[in-house]
Amino acid sequence: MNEAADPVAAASGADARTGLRAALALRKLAEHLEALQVANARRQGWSWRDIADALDVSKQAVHKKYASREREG
Amino acid sequence: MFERFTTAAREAVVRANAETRRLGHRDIGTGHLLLALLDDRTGPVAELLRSAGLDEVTVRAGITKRVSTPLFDPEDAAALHAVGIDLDSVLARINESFGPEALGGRLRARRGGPHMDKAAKHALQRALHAATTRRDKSLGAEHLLLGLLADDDTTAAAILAEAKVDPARLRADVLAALENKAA
Repeated sequence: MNEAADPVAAASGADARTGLRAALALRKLAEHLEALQVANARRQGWSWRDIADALDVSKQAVHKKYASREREG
Repeated sequence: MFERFTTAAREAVVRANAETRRLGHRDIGTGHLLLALLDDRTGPVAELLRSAGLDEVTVRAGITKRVSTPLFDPEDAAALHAVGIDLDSVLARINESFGPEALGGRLRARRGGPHMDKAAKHALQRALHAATTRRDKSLGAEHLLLGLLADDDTTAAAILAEAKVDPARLRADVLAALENKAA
């Protein structure tokens, strides 16, 4: 059906296309998971500082990325 | 159910399926069926829809406005599977923790391709019903349109309303076209 039909070949790096697609899908998944978890932590009263530490990024970065979403939400 | 479908009606369903895939949607809805009917080249249906003021651009925009695109498609799932991640399990956990709307209700597209949603299935039933009550032997594109016009709380109905199409008048036009065909 598609190039991912053989998982062994794909996982061994034989199929670059599938590997790249997996990386893309993981990035998408990570983005959305992070947004969900940040919103969840905020609802539980976490500070931006604590969230930034947990995500291993700067407080400015996390605030810039999510503070406006919080206001909208 | 499909055995009474004319070639035109079957082809419309096939086009709706293709359009659903192209738009990256999970289900074939009434909007996708309406879009497919606009492209019918066998009878009066497309012409009726067009003279009522509909075109592909409007209908496609009406669909994408109302139907969310799944975040992940079957290729994502297959690629993740290849590196040992079961996307279904991951999404199921997210649903458990955050509810089905957590990702904007956008779950992975179906692996086996799109299915008809409830409203589309109902429209097909109403199309069959229309053919049966009229004692038409087969179910054509005209009946599909009658089926789509039968419910007023669907995506297709919303698109028609937005384009200021009068469903009662369109219905009368389709019925008249069927009479002409029979005569």
